[in-house]
Amino acid sequence: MRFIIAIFLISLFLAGMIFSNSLAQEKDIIFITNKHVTDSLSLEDIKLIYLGEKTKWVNGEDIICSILKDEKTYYHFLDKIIKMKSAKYNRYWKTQLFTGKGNIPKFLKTNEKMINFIFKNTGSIGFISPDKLPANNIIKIIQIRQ
Amino acid sequence: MKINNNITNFIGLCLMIFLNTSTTTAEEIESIKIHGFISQGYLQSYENNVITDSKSGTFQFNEMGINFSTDLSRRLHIGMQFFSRDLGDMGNDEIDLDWASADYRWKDYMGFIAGKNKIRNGLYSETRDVDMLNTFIFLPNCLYHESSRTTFTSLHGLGVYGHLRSDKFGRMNYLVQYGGKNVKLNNGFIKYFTRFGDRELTDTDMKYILNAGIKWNSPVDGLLFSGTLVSFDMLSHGKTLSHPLWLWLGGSGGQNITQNLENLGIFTLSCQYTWKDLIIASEWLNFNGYIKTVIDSSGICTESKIDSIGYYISLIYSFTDIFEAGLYYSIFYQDENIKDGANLQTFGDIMRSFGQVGFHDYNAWQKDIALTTRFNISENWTIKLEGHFIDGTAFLFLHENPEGMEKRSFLFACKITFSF
Repeated sequence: MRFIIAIFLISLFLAGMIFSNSLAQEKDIIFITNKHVTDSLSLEDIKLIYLGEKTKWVNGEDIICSILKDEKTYYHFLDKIIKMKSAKYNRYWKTQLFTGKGNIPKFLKTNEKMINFIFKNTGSIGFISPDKLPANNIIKIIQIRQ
Repeated sequence: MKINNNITNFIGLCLMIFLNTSTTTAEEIESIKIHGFISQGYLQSYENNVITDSKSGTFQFNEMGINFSTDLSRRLHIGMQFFSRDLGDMGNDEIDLDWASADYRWKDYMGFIAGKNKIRNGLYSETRDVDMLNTFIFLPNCLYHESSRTTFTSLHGLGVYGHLRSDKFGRMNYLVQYGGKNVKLNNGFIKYFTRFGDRELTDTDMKYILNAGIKWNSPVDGLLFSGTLVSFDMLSHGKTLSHPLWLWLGGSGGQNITQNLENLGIFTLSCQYTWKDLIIASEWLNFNGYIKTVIDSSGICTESKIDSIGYYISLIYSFTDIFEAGLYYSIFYQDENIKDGANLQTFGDIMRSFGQVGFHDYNAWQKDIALTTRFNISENWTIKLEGHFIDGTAFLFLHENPEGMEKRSFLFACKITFSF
């Protein structure tokens, strides 16, 4: 019986290898902040913000982190910035939540809601699809430091 | 020095609120967030009862938790989690306060916590209670055995933590906390020290517990190292049971005893490498200290050194968002200096000469090869299937295997979890 179970588990393992696929998103992504934010950020800074390790701007103000959870931009964000799959990133934040280390960032479903959120919240950061950039300057685009 | 848990927590909470300079009214408190999980599993083992009555198959394997948290201000986060579990006769679905803490994050490099806080012991101690946060159903038992779970998941006390960053040396986070803990008699750690069936404990007190940990994300992308320390003393009272050990020492069953676990330390070193969808992890543990038992009436004393060692290596691969699999090989020796168990074989022969079920050399170790598959059905549902090939019986209990223990056993586990 134990050998049958072992073979079953190994078969599942092999089946997963055959049918596995990887995320490959090539769309651009633009990070935006509230207009009162003056910091420049590197990609590493952005990653640390979205892992909850960097929580303050240079002036000491708190960072309010928000995530656009649409189909394309979110997966590009995960693939290129966080370098985790969606399930793993969800698990990362659930770990913070269920071990008392903090709350999950604000998730927003559309670019419009994201822009509105960033505009209204001092110290906030988020990202949008480049083709959704608002014509007026109600939010600020982050120039990523190399 | 014994810490009074309630005074410590009260002082810590007052400091947090005093340092939080913004005024906060009830109306301004951000809405309280509620999350939780329910897990139900099934265990089936062969040859031995690996956990509780697993040879017969058992559904006495579940966990439930509910979590409330809110930000009183941008810097002050408070939360609590209630938890219950059942694993054979451990837990029995008693609802416990898993953790409840106030977290004041003054700066990224320094924050303070007070309350009942999670203990950091190895890479995964803080997440072991929550099934959906781990790939494996059972984490490598050399570090994360179920018998130690309730004892080493949290402490009442104060702590300081922070995140440090250097462009040259990578990122580091640290935690130091000190406090005490109430230990229930039905927890697995107590069972571990009564596993020889020679004693029964009636009360126990953890006089202090110190926890420190450092996690270093090196400049090499995906490579991290970690070290943790848990140090504590534990004083217990109980009675001897009718057992050859006491007869050998000139005592008998039914006598009051005082058991002192002194200078106990659990020291772990860990390494984890993440490359794309692959995670390779390895950890090493040393558990050392002294156990001294005195028969109160006669002063007859036994004293022995604890010097256990364990290590494992694991691989986890995420094939897709839905499916991931893992494999580990774990080794644990009760005594680093007597890995072949010759002393237990001798002791077992003596027990058998008294007509009792005795130990064998393979009680000195437990080696475990585990293979697991995890299916993330949705954001809320996960299913896991897992098999363990076990050699040795260091973590198996005689009272769960009264007819003796075989050298090798197999454990099958499956678990379904819903989280929200």
